Amino acid sequence: MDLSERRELRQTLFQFAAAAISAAPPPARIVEFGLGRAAAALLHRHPDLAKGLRALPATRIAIDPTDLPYSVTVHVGAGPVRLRVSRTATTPPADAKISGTIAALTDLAEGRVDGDALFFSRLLAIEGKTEVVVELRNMLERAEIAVGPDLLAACAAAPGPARRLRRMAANLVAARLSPAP
Amino acid sequence: MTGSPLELVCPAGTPGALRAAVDAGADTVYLGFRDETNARNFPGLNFSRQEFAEGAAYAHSRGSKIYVAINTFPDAGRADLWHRAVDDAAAEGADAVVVADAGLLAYARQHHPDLRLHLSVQASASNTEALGFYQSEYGIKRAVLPRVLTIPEIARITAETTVEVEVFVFGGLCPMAEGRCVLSAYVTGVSPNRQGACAPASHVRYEDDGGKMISKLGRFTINEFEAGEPAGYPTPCKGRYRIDGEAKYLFEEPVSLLTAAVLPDMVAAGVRALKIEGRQRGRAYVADAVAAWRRLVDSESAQPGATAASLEDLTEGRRITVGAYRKTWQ
Repeated sequence: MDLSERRELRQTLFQFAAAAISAAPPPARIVEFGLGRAAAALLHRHPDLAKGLRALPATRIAIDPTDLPYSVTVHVGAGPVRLRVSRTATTPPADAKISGTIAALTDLAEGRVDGDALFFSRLLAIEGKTEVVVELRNMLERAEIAVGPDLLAACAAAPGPARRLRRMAANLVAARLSPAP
Repeated sequence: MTGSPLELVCPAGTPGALRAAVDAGADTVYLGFRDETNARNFPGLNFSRQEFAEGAAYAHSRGSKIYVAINTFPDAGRADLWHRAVDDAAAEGADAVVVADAGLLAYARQHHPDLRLHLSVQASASNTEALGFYQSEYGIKRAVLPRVLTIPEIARITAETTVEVEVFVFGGLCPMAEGRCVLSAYVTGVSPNRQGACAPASHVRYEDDGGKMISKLGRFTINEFEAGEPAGYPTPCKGRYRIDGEAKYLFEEPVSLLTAAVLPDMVAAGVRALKIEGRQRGRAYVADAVAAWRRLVDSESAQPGATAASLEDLTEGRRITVGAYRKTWQ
C-alpha cells in the first residue's frame, strides 16, 4: 500500500468513525472525560508543548470538528490546559475558533498536512485571534506529536487500570488473529 | 544531497521541517532565528540558537548545508540584535548568511571574513551593476534575484557577473519591489522589512458570513471568498478591491509560483541555485515540495506537468503561475 492509499484509508476510517459517533453520540461529559485523559497523556509525553501552551496569553480556543456533533473549548495560558466538550449547538463563547473535519484537524495536529494548504482549500477555517492560532499551529509542528503511538506509549507506561486495559486489548487482538481451532 | 550542478535550497521554520527537508533531498536548508532579524518573524516559528546548532549538525552529518536568513533591515541604534545573529550563525557553522542590509554585510565581512555572504532577495538587486557593487564592497558570493525578472534578463545578468545567481522556483509569490514594499506596513504599522512580518497574524481576522469567508488586515477588508472558493493569504498585494464598483485584484491574485515548466530555460540562463519559498509552512509542505523538486532536478525524464499536479494541493488559491519569468504580466 503506497502513501496515497494509506492516506485514503485513513480518511475513510475517520469518516466511518465520525458517522458512527454522529448516529449515536455519547454524552458530552463522557467524551470530555476520555478526551481530557488523552490530552493529559499527550502533554505528559510532550512537556515542551505543555510548557508552551501554559505560556500563551489566557485564551479560549474552540475546536469545531464539523463532522461531529461536539465542539471542544481548550483553555490555554494562565495554568494547566483545560478542556470542555459541549454539543455543537451549545458551544460557549471563545476567543478563537478552528473548524474542519475531525480527519483534517487530527492530521493538522500531527503535522501530516500543511495548515496553509488546508486553509487555501477551505478545508480549515479560523476565526478570532489569528495570532494565537498561528502560534498553536507552530507549537504543534514543533512538538511532532503522533496521537496513536503517543497514547499507546502513555498506556504502556501507566500503572494500574490503564496497563490492565492495554493488556486486555492486546489479548483480544491476539485471540482474533489466532487461527480458529 | 546529490551531485547535481543545481543546488536545491529549501525552507524550514521548525526543527521537524529541517529534518524533513534534509531527508527529502535538500542540498541546502535555509532558516531564521526566533526574532525580527528575518523576514518570517511569525508567532512560534523559527529556531532558537540551540535548535539551530542541532539542526546544523543534523544537516551537515547528511551532507546538506545550512544558510541563515538575517535579511531584515536593522533599526537605527538597535543593530546589536542583527550583529549577534551574524555572530551566532558563524559560530555554529552556518555555511552562509543571507543578508540584505549594506551595513550588516559590512559588519559580517569585517568580523567574519571567512563567512560566505549571500545577498538576500530583500536587497532587490536586479542588475549587474548592483551585484558588482555588493561583490566588490562586501564580497558576496551569491545573490537571490527578485521575482520580477524574465529569464532572458537573468541570462544577461549571469553572462556579465561572477556572482552566483539563485532564483525562486516554488511557493509564495511576492510581486512587489522586495525589501521596499510598504503596503502591509501602511496597513498595520508593522514593517515586513524591519520587523519581518508581512500581514502579521496579530492584525489578521477572518470572519464567516454564511459560508463566505472575509479576510481582514487591520481595518481593511482584503478579500471575500465565496463558499468553496480557494483562498489566499491576507496580504495587501493579493487583495481584491472594489474599483469603479467592481471587485477585482489590483496587484496580484492568490497564486503560487511554480516554474517547473521553465526549468530547462533557467538552467540555460546560468542559474546556480533553486529556492523553494515557505519557511512559514508545515513539515508536510516541506517534505512534499522538496521531494517533488528533487525528482525534477535529478531526472531528465521528469514531467513538469506531473510535478505541478503533485504540488497543486499546496498552492495559494490552488493556482500556479510562472510569474515574470515568462513575461505575461508586469
